[in-house]
Amino acid sequence: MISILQFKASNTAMERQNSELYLRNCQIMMENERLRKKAQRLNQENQALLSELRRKLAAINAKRKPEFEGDMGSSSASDQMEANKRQALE
Amino acid sequence: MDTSKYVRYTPEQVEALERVYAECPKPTSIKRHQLIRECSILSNVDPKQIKVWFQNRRCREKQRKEASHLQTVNRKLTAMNKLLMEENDRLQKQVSHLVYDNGYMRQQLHTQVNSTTTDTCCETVVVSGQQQQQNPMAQHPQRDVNSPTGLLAIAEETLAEFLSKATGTAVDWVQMIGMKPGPESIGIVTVSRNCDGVAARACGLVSLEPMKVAEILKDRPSWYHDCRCLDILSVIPTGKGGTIELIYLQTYAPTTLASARDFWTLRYTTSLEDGSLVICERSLTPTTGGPPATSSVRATMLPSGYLIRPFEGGGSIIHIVDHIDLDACSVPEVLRPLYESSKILAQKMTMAAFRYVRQIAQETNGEIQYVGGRQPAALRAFSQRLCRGFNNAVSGFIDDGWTIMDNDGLEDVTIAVNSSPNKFLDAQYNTLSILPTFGGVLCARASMLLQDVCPALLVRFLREHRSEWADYGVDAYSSASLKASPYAVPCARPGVFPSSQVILPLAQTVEHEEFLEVVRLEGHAFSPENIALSRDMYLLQLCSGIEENATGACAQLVFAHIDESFGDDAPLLPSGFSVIPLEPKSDSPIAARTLDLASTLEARTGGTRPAGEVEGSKYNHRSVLTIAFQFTFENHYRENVAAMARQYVRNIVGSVQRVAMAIAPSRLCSQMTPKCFPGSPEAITLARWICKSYKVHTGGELLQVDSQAAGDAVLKQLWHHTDSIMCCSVKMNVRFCSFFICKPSRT
Repeated sequence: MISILQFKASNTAMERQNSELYLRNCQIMMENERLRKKAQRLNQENQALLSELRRKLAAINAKRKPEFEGDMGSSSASDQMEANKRQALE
Repeated sequence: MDTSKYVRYTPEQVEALERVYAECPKPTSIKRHQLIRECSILSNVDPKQIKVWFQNRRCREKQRKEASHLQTVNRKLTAMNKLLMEENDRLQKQVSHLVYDNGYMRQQLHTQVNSTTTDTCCETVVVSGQQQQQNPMAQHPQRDVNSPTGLLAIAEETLAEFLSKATGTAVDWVQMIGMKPGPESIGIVTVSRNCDGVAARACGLVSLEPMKVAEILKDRPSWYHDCRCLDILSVIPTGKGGTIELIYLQTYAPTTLASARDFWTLRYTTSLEDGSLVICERSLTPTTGGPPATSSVRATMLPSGYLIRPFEGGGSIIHIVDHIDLDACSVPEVLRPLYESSKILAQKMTMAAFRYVRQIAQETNGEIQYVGGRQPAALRAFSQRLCRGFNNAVSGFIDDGWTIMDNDGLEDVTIAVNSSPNKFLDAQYNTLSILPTFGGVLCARASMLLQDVCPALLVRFLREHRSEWADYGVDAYSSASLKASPYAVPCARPGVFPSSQVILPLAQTVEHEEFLEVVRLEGHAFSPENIALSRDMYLLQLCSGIEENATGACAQLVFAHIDESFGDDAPLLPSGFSVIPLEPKSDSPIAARTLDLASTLEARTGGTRPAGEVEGSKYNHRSVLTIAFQFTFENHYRENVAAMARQYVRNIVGSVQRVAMAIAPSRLCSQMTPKCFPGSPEAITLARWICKSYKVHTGGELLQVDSQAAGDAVLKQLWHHTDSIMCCSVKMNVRFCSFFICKPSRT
């Protein structure tokens, strides 16, 4: 038979635990919100970076094309380096 | 006498004491002495010790109850904690992926400038970048959807997509404002942002077994008030004891201004390896069969569903995802926010489902008090019938037997008649409908666009001040028609007959978002010819959406006349008001007054604006108010009842406009009201009401000035009246000032 004092002690402890849990939950909730915002921001940044990369890639491809169709005569030095590398690998 | 401090009772003594305690936990000293006398086992115990024993026993009981309550709270908090930790985990993983990709791409960009990388490297970046985007809606290859294997493939795909929304971040979820994080809250509710259609998600703990939860959630008509019918057209069993169902779901329209929506879906029920139950659902294309949309617009359900995980102690953690495309483009522009609002979806579907499951859980576990000897289920049935009946009236489906009557030239009030109400009305009403004189049911409806009126506030006002808009004569007609011996001639005198109401609460849901009550209308007759009319009438009334933290939620007041006997199967013909907020759009111009909706639509299509509109005001909280009143009529009195109903609803529209003006923050008046009040419109309205009320209660005039005169004069006279004491209270978080003017009673 549990005495009243024991009950009271256990209830106080449980109450304290509940308060801690509640606080912890609130903290995690705020943290999650913060993470969500961060994820959203990073996502937007990534999209921007991605589109920039694509642009650069397209630009490079465009520069390369003339070489396949024959020397246009105005390719830059770095492109020439690329072309030489490819020939070396083949 | 035993003088030792600590008394030890024998087991027999304890047993005897416990028996008495069970009957009477707090016996008086007389009773205690009587106990010692009558009970031989306790005869040699000191009376003071008995008193102490009972004291201790009560204390122990209190502590025990406290402990049990704390344990329940603890369980809920632990469940919440687990959910939050999981979400935290997912989010951290997501963020770290994004950070990695981000870094990698920056590096790529940096080295690209020097162009030493090869093509294949860039491709990898492109691919992995895509994976981090929101769940791409992949093109589904053409499938043979008429075969079980084809359906199963769709089902499995639906399952995967649903899970990625429920426990992943496939949709951009945003925490809904106003959800309390405490243990009694519904759990985490989030709504969508930037996705196709609208989506809402909720999760939390309920104390019901997963199978029972699944059963309740699959029975959509029981918790989704806007659901008209759910037809399961075929059931296909799958491996692992699952099922695939093809379902036609028909909903009611929330307003009279746009068609109802329907869905043709596939629903897949299965269990996962970890013991969780999943019910997921998505729309099928029309090529797969399904009923053609008749008076409804076909809407799309994107993968949605319920994930039910068992939790210790016989409970479940539920995740609900609703993702719907309501075809907002086909509704009038002014209504479009309603069809694009994930908050309203959350309230009407996601949270409704969750709250209902919680309600059933509490009823099953015996945590609900019975009221007046009625089972909670019977009261819930009342609520459902009221809601359903009202929705029926607002929607007025032709295949339910409704036809529109010709109007009297003005477009403001629509009258619809149903001569064969057997199809939709409660079966109970058929007892009246078999009478030879029974002509049918008539419904008068109107819609209004309100500006800057909080739905909860308006509905609360309508509920508390019924006498401001209701007509006793009309109520008397409705009440009499219940008894199958209605008035020969309905009366429609404009609100001269005074009446008051007494509200008797009946039941409310766990979170008080909806409550059922009985309203007793008492007529006060002062003249002999009115005595006959004066009688007590009863209404069964359902009120939802007006709880404390319900800002920006839909509110509704639905009531029906009911016989005093309140039988469980009493016939109900509901009428009422429904206010739905339209979320503010910052870019559309604003009207500075309440408008009849027809004129708004005209203004928009015509391209001209009604004069007197004020643009560029800071607030833009609009809502749609739908009013629907139903009456039965006898064969030969259809036109009379129609005229009465039309006039009644027109009067109500006027009353609501008046109330809305008083509730909304004061601004420059437009041509809607004939006069401009330099004083506060609320005070003047109140002054008028006081005069009216005085006249009603004492038969005399309070002021010497005609109450229709300029409001200022009324207010001035009242202010200077010799008997008036003015106390005023202003609620700061509510834009409504109330002045109480007390009159000492004349002896």
